[in-house]
Amino acid sequence: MSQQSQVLFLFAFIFLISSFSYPQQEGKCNLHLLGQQYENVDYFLENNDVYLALDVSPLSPLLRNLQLKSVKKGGKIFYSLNELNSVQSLSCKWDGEARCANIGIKLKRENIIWERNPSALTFQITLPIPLSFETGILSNPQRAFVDIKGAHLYPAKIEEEIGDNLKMRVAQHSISPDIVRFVIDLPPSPPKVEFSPSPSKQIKIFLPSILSGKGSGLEAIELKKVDGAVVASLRLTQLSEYKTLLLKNPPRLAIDITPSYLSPSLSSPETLPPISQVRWSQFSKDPPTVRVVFDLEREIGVDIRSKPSLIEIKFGSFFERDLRKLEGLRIVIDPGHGGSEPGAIGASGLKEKDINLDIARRIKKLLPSVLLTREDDVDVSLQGRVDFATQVNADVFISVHNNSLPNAQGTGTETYYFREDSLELAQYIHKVLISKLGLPDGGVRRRGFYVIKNSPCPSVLIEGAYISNPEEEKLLASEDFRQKIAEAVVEGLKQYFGREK
Amino acid sequence: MKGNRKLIFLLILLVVFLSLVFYIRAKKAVRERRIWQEVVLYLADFSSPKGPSLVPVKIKIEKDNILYSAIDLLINPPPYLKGVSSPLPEGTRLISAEVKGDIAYLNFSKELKDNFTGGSTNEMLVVYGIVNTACSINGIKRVQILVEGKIIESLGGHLEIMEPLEPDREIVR
Repeated sequence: MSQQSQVLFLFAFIFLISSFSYPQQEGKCNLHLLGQQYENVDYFLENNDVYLALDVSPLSPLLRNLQLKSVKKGGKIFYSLNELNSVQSLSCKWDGEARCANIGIKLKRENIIWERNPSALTFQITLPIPLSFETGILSNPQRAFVDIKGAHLYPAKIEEEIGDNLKMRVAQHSISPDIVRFVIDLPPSPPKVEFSPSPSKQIKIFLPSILSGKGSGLEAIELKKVDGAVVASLRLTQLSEYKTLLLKNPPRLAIDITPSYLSPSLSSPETLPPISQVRWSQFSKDPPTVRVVFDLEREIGVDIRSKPSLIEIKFGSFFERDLRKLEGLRIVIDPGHGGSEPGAIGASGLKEKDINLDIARRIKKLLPSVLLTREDDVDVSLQGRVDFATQVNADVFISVHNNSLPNAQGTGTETYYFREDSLELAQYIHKVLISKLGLPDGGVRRRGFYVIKNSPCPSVLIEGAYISNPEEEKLLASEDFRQKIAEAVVEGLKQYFGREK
Repeated sequence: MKGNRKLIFLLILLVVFLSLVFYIRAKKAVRERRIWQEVVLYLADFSSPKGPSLVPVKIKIEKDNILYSAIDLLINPPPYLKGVSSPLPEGTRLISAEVKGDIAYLNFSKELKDNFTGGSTNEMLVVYGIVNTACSINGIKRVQILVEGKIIESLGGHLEIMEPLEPDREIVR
C-alpha cells in the first residue's frame, strides 16, 4: 500500500470517529407503526419534538377530518410525534437512545369486556382500528394468551378475578416492539378456548361450556315501593338454595345463594330508604356462592319469599327519617365559584358556578335550615366563605363543586377533606354519593383546599362529576342528576348526625 | 519528487484537519466542565388509576439559572418522558424567576390563570407542580406565584396563592 493511500485511510478513519462523537439531531430511525416495523425512517429533532417522515395512511381512520401539521424537508414530509400523540386513542413514544419511535393504540380497561352466561364465558377487546394479534395456550400453569401488536396499555397493569379459578391479566409485554399481552389463567383441567381470527378491531376469546351445570346466575337486583314498603327482587337464571342473615352494627341483611354466580350485566339499583346501599360479591368459589348485602339505615323487619328464578324481600314499612334533628343544626352549604369566577366550563358551555349554585338551592329546598355562602351568581372570596362559616358558628361546612381535567379527561365522584375531624363526614357523604350517582368511585381524599383547610368546623368538598367529561356534563345538565346530588348530601348528613359515636 | 510534494501537501491538510478536530473537542470539554445539578420535575399524570397525581422525575440540568430552567422544563417537559405531561395550562410562559432568602418568586404570563380549565385536582396539579419543583432546588423552601407581576387570590377558586406556599406531598404519586 502506498503512503498516499495510507494517509487517505487515516483521513477516512478520523472522519468516521469524529462524526460518531456528536449527538444525532437527524438521521434514520426505526419505527413501529401499529405493530408494523419500518427501518431507516428519516427523522429530525426540533423543539423537544421528534419529526418523522412516515406514511400516515394506516392512521387515517383515527385522524378522520383532522389535519396534521407537516414539515417539508429535503423532498420528504415529516410529522410531529407530539402532535400524533395528541390524537385520541393514539400513543406515541420516542426512545432517543435506541433511535426508535413507537406509534400504537391506547388500550384501556374500558376496551375490555367480559360476559358470562350459563353457556359460555366471552372476553372481547375492542380497538378503534384493526390490529394483528397472536393467540395460543401456554402450560405450567395453563393459560390462554393474546399478544396484540401495536398496543400501549394504560394503566400499567390490569388484573381481575373472573371466578371459577379464572383470572384475567393484561400487561405491556414489551415496549419495542409494542406488544400488549392479554392472559387468562385457566383452571388445572383447562376448558376449550377459541379465538377470533387476526387482524381485527374486535378480538374475541370464547370459553364455551365452562359454567355449565354450575348453578344459577344472579342477573338483576331491583328495588321498588309497593304499598309503602320497599321490595327487593333478586332475579336468577334458576332457583338455588339461599340463606338469609339479619345483622346489627351496622344494620344490614345478607343473603347467600348457593350454587350461583354473578352475571356481568348486574348493575347497582337506585337505592330507596331504608336501604342505603346494595352490595354483592362472589362470596366463595367452592361451592360457588353469591352474597348480596342490603345496608339499612336502621334495624327493620324483613319478609322473604321465593318463586322459581326470583327471591323477593319486603323491608318493613317505609317512612322518611326524621329531619327535625338536622333542622336544629347550622349546616353551611358553599356553592363553589360564582360571579367573575366561572369555575370549570364544559364543552357545551355549561358553567360549574351555575351547577354548584343549583345543587345548593336544591339542598336548601330539601332542608330549609341550611345556610348558603352565596345565594346568587356573585363573587365570594375563599376567605369570605370561611368567614361566613365562622360568623354563623357552623356545625359542618360542605363545599359543592364539580370537577374538570384538561382534554376531556376525568370521570367519577370524589370527596375531599383535610383535617381529621372531617374524615367521618366525608365518608358518610361520599358513600351515599357513590350509591346514588353510580359514577366511578374516585374515593375520599385528603387535599389542602382552602375552604376545607381553614373552616372552623368539620368540612368537606364534594366533586359530583366531571364537567370536562362530555358524558358527565350531560348528566350535570339534567335536573334529575343535580337533584340526586342534593339528595345524597342531605342523606349523608342524616347518616352522619344519626351515627353512633 | 512529485509524489513527495503531494505527500507533504496531504500531511499539511491532515495537520489542519486534526487541529480542527482537537479544537472542537477541547471546546466540547470546556462545555462539559459546566456544573450540573439535580432537580425534581413534578409532572402531571392525568390518567393514573389512583386518580390524577404528580409524578416526580429527576433530571440533571445546568446549575446556572437553575430555577428558571427547571420551571421552563415543567412547562415543556422532555418528550422522552412517557405518560406524563406538563401540569401547567397551555400557553403559559415563565416571565421571571428570582430567589429572595428561601422564597422563590415565579412570575408567569397571564395564561396561567386565563387558560386554567378548572377542577380542584387540576388546580392542585398546577400549583404544586410549580411549588414542589421549585422547592426541589437547594435553598428554596417556599414559592410565591405571581401572574403578570401581581399577587392573585387563586387560579381556579380552590387554593389560595396570596402567600408563599410550601410543597405538598399528598398529591404526589
